[in-house]
Amino acid sequence: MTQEKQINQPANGYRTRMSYGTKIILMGVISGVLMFGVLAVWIVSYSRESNNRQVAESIANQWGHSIHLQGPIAKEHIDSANRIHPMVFDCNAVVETKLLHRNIYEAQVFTANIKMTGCFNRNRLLELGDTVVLELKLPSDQIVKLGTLNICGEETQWQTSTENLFAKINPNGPGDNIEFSTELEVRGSGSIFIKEIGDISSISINGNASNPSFTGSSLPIERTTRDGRFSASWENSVPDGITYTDDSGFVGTNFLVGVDRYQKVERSMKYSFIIIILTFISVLFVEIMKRQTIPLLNYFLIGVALIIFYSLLLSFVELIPFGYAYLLATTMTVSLITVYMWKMLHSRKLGLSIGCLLSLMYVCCYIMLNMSTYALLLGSLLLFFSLAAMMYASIKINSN
Amino acid sequence: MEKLSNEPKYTMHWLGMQILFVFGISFVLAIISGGLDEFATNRQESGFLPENRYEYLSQTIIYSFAVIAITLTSLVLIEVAFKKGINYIQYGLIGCALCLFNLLLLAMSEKMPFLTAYIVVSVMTIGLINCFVMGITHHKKATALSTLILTTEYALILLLVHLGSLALLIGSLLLFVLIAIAMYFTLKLKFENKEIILK
Repeated sequence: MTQEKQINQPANGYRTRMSYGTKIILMGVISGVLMFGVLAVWIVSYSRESNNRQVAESIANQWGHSIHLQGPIAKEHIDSANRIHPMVFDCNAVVETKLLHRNIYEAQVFTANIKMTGCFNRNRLLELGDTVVLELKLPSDQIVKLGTLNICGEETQWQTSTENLFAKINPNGPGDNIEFSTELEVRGSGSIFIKEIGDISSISINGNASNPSFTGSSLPIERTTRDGRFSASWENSVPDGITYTDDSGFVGTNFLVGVDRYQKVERSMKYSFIIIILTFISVLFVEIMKRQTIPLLNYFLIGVALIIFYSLLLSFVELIPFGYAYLLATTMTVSLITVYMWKMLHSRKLGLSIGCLLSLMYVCCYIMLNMSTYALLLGSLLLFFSLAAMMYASIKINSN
Repeated sequence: MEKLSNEPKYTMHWLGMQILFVFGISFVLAIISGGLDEFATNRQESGFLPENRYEYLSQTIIYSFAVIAITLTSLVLIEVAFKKGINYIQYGLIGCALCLFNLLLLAMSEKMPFLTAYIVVSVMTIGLINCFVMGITHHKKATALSTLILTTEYALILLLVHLGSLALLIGSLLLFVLIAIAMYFTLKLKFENKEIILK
């Protein structure tokens, strides 16, 4: 009885070989199960992203809040309600953003160099009296460097209080206009807003930022963003006699506090299913061509290694830039699977070719992550070529 | 009877079913551990459990799936390597012991500092499983191996819990090492008379 049973079984195998159809269906089931692993990594990534955003906001607030600059207004004295706005107001802000690192957290903050020039109507200032006060609204704890105020060529020092800057000036002198210019450096995070204070205002903000957005009471007349640098300018003229309210007329730029590294990891996870499926199919072709059974357990382990890639990527990306993190995680995963295939099939050539295939897939995935506009085109072309490769391989198998 | 004993037990099919069973039971027990986390939240809100100990406890519970799955999988490998049968109920009981670890830890950490509680509870759990495996297999080497694996796991979790924000990095690197070890073992599986043996 036992003898007979042994004869019925294939002599070369240690067990009845599973048909390829069953194997493919089970591989599909395994890929589905592995998606739960991807889901788990996604949940970890999501919770770390929200955690990181909170910490980044608190770091950024220690550095400085968002900036709302309200340019010089002339008053009779500090508490006077009667205000005179400049006729012409030019403001140029140069913003340099940088990343602050604390442990694994990073926050985007900036320093801005602000130059203001403009002029007042001398007759209107003279109506206020012999000394007038110029007021500039800006919290003093955000000022890094305070320049002097230049009035018609004369230097005056600003006096600081917690919310404002003051300077006493004498409006008497020759000419119709009182020209002023001043320069200061501030630090902040999140956004910078400048009020269009003059009858004719022109404001320009430029600098470097990863993803600025321009907002305010009016949209910029000119804006460019290229290679991480941006510039935007606003122009506005107010007809005489209009009343200004305190919180309108601001224009400026928002800088999103950067947590885009997590979004990149989450976007790369979208390709996990297709990478797992393509890897399984290529291993299956190797199995068919080599006529050596590869147990489903080994497929499962390869799939798990492909998921651990995302876990590794997520943990590396918190410490080093995304490109290096991706390179490191890819190298680790691909070399592990390559060595595994090599030892399993006792063939260095097959192991290396699987490794090359995997590297190609990861390179394509990286390119798709970085070129969002061409992602669909590249992705569908890749699927086309992988389908062609599969067709070619199946013909080769049939002719063998 | 003679014929039955000649039937190969440790086939590739058996290994697959065993791994499937182990992961299924780990999943169920991990969900129960998740319920324990809710329970711990209630205890913390009603003032029995200090908040910093709750944080540590909740971190420990996260790893319960990994602990149960790794321990039971290593028991499967021990079963293959030493040819000592461990039945499904025994796997289930060991899983329950590992799940009970979390409840004991919650109860203990209400009364003493987290580190002391952790050491006491892990010594209790490891001791229990050690005796149980000894009783099942009557094999010193197998028992020592399973105890060593359990001790390493609990030590690593204590490390991960105290690492805070770097835990993800160390955790993923450990997972990578673990999958490499698992791959190594599948390469070491050899076949003799249709039966898998581990060398």
